[in-house]
Parts: sequence; C-alpha cells; structure tokens
Amino acid sequence: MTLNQFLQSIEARAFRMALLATHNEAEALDLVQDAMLKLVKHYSEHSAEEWRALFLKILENRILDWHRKEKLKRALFFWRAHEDEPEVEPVLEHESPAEHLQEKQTEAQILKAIAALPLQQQQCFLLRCWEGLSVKETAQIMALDEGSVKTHYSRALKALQKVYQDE
Amino acid sequence: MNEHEAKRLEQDARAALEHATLTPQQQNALARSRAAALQQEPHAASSRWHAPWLGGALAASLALGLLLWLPLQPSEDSAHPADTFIALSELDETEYLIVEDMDFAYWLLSETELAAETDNG
Repeated sequence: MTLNQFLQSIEARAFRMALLATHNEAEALDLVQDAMLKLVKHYSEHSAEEWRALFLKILENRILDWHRKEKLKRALFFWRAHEDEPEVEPVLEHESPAEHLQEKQTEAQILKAIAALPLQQQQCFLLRCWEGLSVKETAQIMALDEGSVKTHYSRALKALQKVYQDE
Repeated sequence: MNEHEAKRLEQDARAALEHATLTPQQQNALARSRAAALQQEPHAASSRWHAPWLGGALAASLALGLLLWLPLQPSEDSAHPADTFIALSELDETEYLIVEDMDFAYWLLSETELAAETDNG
C-alpha cells in the first residue's frame, strides 16, 4: 500500500472524528491536514502496517492539543464564552431516504450524542467502537492507563444510551 | 446496561458513523490536504544520500585510499613549507575537513605502528 492509498483510505474517517471533536469544519480540516503532514514527514519510511496506529496517535494528539488551546482561549476570554460555545448540532450529514426515516433519525441522534460527549469519552468511544482498537491500543494512543479507557468507554455508553430512552 | 443493550448501541453507533456522508466540498478539501501533505514526503533516494554517516564514510575511505597511495610515492623532502601553505589555503571548507580527516587517520596509523614497535622492542 502506498502512502497516498493509505491516506485516502483513512481521511474521511479522520475528518469525521475531528469534526465530532471540534464541531467546526475548518478546524477539523486543519487537524487532519496537520496529522497527514506529520505522518508523511516523519513516518513515511515506517512500514505500512504501522501507519494506521501512528496516524491515529498523531490525530488524537492534535485533537487534544486543539481542545487545550480552546479551553485556554475560553478561560482568557471568559466574557465571550457564550458566543464561542460550540453548538451541539448533528455535524455530519445523512442520506435520508424516506423508507428509513426512523432509523436515520436515531442515527442522527446518536451522532449528536457522540458529538456532545466529553472529549476523552468521545475519543475513547470512537477508537474502541468505530476504529475497533483494543483497550490496550486505545490506552497507548490516548496515553491513558487501561483502567481509565474502560471507565471512559463505559461512561460514554451510558451517556449514549439516553438516546434510546428519549425516543 | 446489559451486554445485549451495549452491543446494540455499539452497532447503531457504528452504522451512524459509517452512514454519515461528506459533502463534495469536504471531500475535495481532504484530497487537497492529502496532495499537499504528500508533497512533503522526504525523497527516499535523496534521504539516503543525506544519511549522516555518509560524510564520515566518504572521508574515511578517502583517507584509507591516501594511506595506501602515499607509501608508493617518492619522498618530496624538498617541498617548501610555503608551497604546502599555499595549497592548503586554496582549499574550500569541505576539502580542508577531508584533509584534516586524512591527517588524523595518518597520525592514528603512525601512533599504532609506534606502539607496535615499542611492544616488540
């Protein structure tokens, strides 16, 4: 697999992850581009099997870094906090054929609920559930211990369960 | 939450994430980002030529070549020190460093020979 093929295979998923974390398309694109650049510049000579974990680790770091900066910005400009507060809207579009309307509505609600999760729960949920990483791999990527990963994941599941209760 | 509910939730979440679509603009922007990133790929061939050990290896092989070649040359005791000075002053920095390396290699060899003679004597 070439680096181009690899990036092509992961870019849409990476963008969705970044978009769920930032609620901002331009910021999400920047984060994904940064992650791509870093992978290409520093790890292109690594084996193709390593690229996925490396890329997810870089992206995760970029997202956490972005989140820290946003938090600091909000603390420094607290009087404007309500203006900058990201709205938790469904940030990803859905194809909505009428026959699957109910199903699609549930999916849209799930996406909205994922977007509203606290960052670490959200990233943990996406890496475990969507990317299919093990607890150990997730812990390595998020620089957490395995116990924390399990806790974040379980809390995320509990929060998302409310989608069904609200139906 | 029981295991069955958790599995259902995971399955639905995966479906929601997989079915989420990107707009053509988002897809184009990602393709542009990818192309821009790939332009930064270090060229494999050139990176090999810039390997940090290469300079040292080149200097060492030149020094070795000179060491093998020098004993075959007639002695030039008559060379004036000023000639050597002029010759050295005409070298650029890289050439001068190579000469320094060769000097060092020659000195190292003579020290080794001296030590061997002392041990034998």
